[in-house]
Amino acid sequence: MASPGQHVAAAPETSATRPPSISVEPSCPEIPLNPCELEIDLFCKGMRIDPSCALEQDARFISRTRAGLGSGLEIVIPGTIKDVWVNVPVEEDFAQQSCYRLVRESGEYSIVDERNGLRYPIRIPPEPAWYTRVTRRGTPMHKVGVLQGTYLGIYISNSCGFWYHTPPLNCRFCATGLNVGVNEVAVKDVEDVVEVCRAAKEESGVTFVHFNSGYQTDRDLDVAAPYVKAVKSRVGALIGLQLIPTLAFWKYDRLIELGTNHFSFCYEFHNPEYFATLLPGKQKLVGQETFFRALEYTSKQLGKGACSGEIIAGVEPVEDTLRAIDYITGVGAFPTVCIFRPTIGADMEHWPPPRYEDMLIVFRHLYEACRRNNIPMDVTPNIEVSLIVQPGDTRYLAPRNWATRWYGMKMAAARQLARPYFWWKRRPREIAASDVLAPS
Amino acid sequence: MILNKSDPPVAAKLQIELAKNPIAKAVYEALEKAPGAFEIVAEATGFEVRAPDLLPTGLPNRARLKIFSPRPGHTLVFFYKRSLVPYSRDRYSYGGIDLREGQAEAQEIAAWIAFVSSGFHPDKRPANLRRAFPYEIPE
Repeated sequence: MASPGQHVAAAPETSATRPPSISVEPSCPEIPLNPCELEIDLFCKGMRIDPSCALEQDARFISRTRAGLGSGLEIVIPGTIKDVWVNVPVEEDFAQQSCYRLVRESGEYSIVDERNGLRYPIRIPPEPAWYTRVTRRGTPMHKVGVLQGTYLGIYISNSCGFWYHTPPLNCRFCATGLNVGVNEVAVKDVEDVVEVCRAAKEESGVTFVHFNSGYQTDRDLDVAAPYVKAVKSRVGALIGLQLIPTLAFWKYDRLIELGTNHFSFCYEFHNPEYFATLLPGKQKLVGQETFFRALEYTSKQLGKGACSGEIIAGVEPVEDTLRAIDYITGVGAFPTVCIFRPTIGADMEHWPPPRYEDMLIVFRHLYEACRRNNIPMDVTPNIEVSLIVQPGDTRYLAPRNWATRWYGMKMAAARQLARPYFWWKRRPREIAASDVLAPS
Repeated sequence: MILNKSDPPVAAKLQIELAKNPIAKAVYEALEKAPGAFEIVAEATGFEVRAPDLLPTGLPNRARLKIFSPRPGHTLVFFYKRSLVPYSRDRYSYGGIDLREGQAEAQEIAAWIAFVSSGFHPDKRPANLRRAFPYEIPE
C-alpha cells in the first residue's frame, strides 16, 4: 500500500496486489442479465456511446459535481420489480473499452452487449427545464444542485479542506476538490438553494434533498444548519446530510430539530489499513471510530433504516466489504455501497474498476443482510439513487424462498403505511429552532 | 509544433492573446519547438491548447492547457480535460498553477507541456501544481 501523500500508483493486475477476489474467472452472460445485474455490470465496465445517439436532445447533461461519481450518463433500466436508475460511467478510460454500447434506433435507446449481442432497452430521463434557468441572483441552477436519480444533490461547502493541506490529505478516490469553480459554484447561497429546491420539487417531483460537503474543520454540521432550516421551512422535503462526523452528538440533535431526516456517513473502507492509507485526511483528522460512533448515535435517534453507512466496494478485499455491510445493518442503518469508479483526475484514476463477479457477491450479501436485520427497503417515496446499487435494487438478486417473500410483503405493507407519514414529513413547516447550532 | 496556427481564426486569436500575456507567448514559443503535435483552441477564453495525438494506450489525448488572467497582472495556468460526450458541458480539472508574479522559467513551461503531452500522467505532474484550484474558470 502506498503511504499517505504518495502518488497512489495504479495497482498492477497481479493476484498479489489486486484485492482478493472470491469469485472465479469472468463470465460472459448467455441469458439476459436482470436489471440489477446489468446495473452492477455497467458500473464495473461503463458504456460507450454510439454515434446514433441523440443525447443532446434526449438526456440530462453530464455534470461532475460533488465527489465525481456523477460523471456518467443517467439512464433508467425498466424492470418488473422496479425501475433501476443508474449513472453509467461513460467518460473514464475504462468505459472506452467497454463491451456495452448505447445505441438509438427508431427513437428508442438500448444497450448492446457486444460479447453476445444481447440488447437491453432503457430509458433516458430528460433534462429538467430548470437546469438551464438561473436563480433570481443570476446563478445557473445546475451549478447549485443536480438530480442524481430522482433526488436533488447539493454540495454546500467551499470545497473540501483536506485538499488544502500540505501535503494534501484528500481521499484518494475523490475528485471534489477538482470540481469547485470549474463545474460548481464555490459557495452556495441559501436563497439560491431554496429556489433550486423549490424548482426541483415542483417540476421534477423531488421528495428528498441531499446535502453534502467535504471537511470543514469540525464546522461541517454548523455550515449545513441554515440550509436545512431554510429548505425545510420554506420548501418542504425530506432532508439528508452527508458530512464529516463529530463526537459532539448534540449537533445531530439540533439538526434533527431543524428538520433533518437522514444522516449518511462515508467511511468508505472497513479495513483500517485501507482507511488509513486511502483516506489520509479522515484518518488524521477524524478517525474511523468517529464514523462508527456517529452512525450508531444517529441511527438510534432517528430509528431503523433512517441513516446509512457509505462504503466503496472493489478496492479493499471483498471480505472486508461484507463485514462492513454486516456492521452497518447490525446497527440499524442501511448500507450505501458505491462500486469503485476510477474518476478522471483523481489520485486513483489509473486503478482498475472492480470485477462484476465480485460485486455480485457483495450485493447479494447486502440484500441478505438487510433482510436479516429487517432494514426497510424502498419505503420512502420517490428516492432512486443513480450513483449506487441501492438496497431496493438488490431485490432482483434475492433468492426465491419464503424468507424473501415474507420480507417483500413486510416492505410492501410498510410502503403503504408510511405514505401519510412521509407526506407529513415533507410539508414546509415553521421551525422555531435556531440555525446557529449551540448545546441546549 | 502547432498544427493550426495558420488558420485565420487561430491566427487572429494568437495575435490578441500573445500580445496580452507574456506567459502565453512563452508557452506558444515552447510549443512550436516541442515534439508532438498541438492545436490552439480558437473559440476558448484565454490561450488554450490541446494535444491531438493518440496516447500510448490508443485512446485520444483529451488534455488541455488554458492560460488566462482573471485580472491584470495575475495569470492562471489551468490543466483540464473536456468531456468525450459531444454535448456535455463538463470539464475535468487536473489543477492549476497560480502565477501571481507573472513569470515562469523555461523548465517549468517544459514540464507543463510534457504533462499535457502525456495526457496528464501522474508521473508528469508539475512540481507546483495545485490540485484544488478554486477559481472560476471561463469556458
